[in-house]
Amino acid sequence: MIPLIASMVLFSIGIYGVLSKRDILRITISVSVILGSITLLLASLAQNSGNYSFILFIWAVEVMEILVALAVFLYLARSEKKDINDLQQLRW
Amino acid sequence: MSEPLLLVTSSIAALGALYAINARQLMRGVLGLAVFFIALAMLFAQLGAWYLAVGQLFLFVGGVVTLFVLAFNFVRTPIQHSGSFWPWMVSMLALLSLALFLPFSFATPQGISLTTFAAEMFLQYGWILNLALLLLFSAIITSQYLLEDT
Repeated sequence: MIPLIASMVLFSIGIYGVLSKRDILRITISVSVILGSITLLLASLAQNSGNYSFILFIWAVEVMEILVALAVFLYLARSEKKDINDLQQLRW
Repeated sequence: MSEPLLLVTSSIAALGALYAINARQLMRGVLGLAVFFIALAMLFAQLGAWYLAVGQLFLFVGGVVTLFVLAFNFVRTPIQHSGSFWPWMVSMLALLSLALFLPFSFATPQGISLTTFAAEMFLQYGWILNLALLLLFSAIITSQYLLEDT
């Protein structure tokens, strides 16, 4: 029961970070917290079966997200911008 | 594993996540993220998922946090910090890791060896790993493209 509540709290913290911050690194950290909470939820649900295969997939998605977010961060840092709202060029 | 330890570890994870999001300086936020990842690995270990705990430590505490610090170092802007903050913070992080992993040093996990680790991680779920590696490769290419375009 405690891991389920903990994952819910962590998910709320991550959502709060995504919605309230405008710095791209803080948003990346918040998304990492969200994905970590989902991983914790899946691990606590799969505790009896011991089948943790989907967690590997979530890990891969998280690492990819961090890679692309850091690349965007470096792009913003080179153009001396910090705010996520300055990303006009990435719009379609 | 006992429920009080589970509660304490969950609280540490929540506090680390809150500090990582709300820290005024980004490097302190990355240290909070490291605390969150360590506490999450501890939660995995308490749930009996030893492989996940080891993978979480290797991949995230060892890899992703280092990637964040590396990205800060690529940016030329100096990171402001007070003189006495870093030794205190880093020693607190090391003590936290030690205190979190101390209960598990007395309980030997059953059946962990290199063979079982490889069988768990690679053989049974190889297609998921291949798919993940394909997506990881495309993410690396995307980030390379974004950086070369600037």
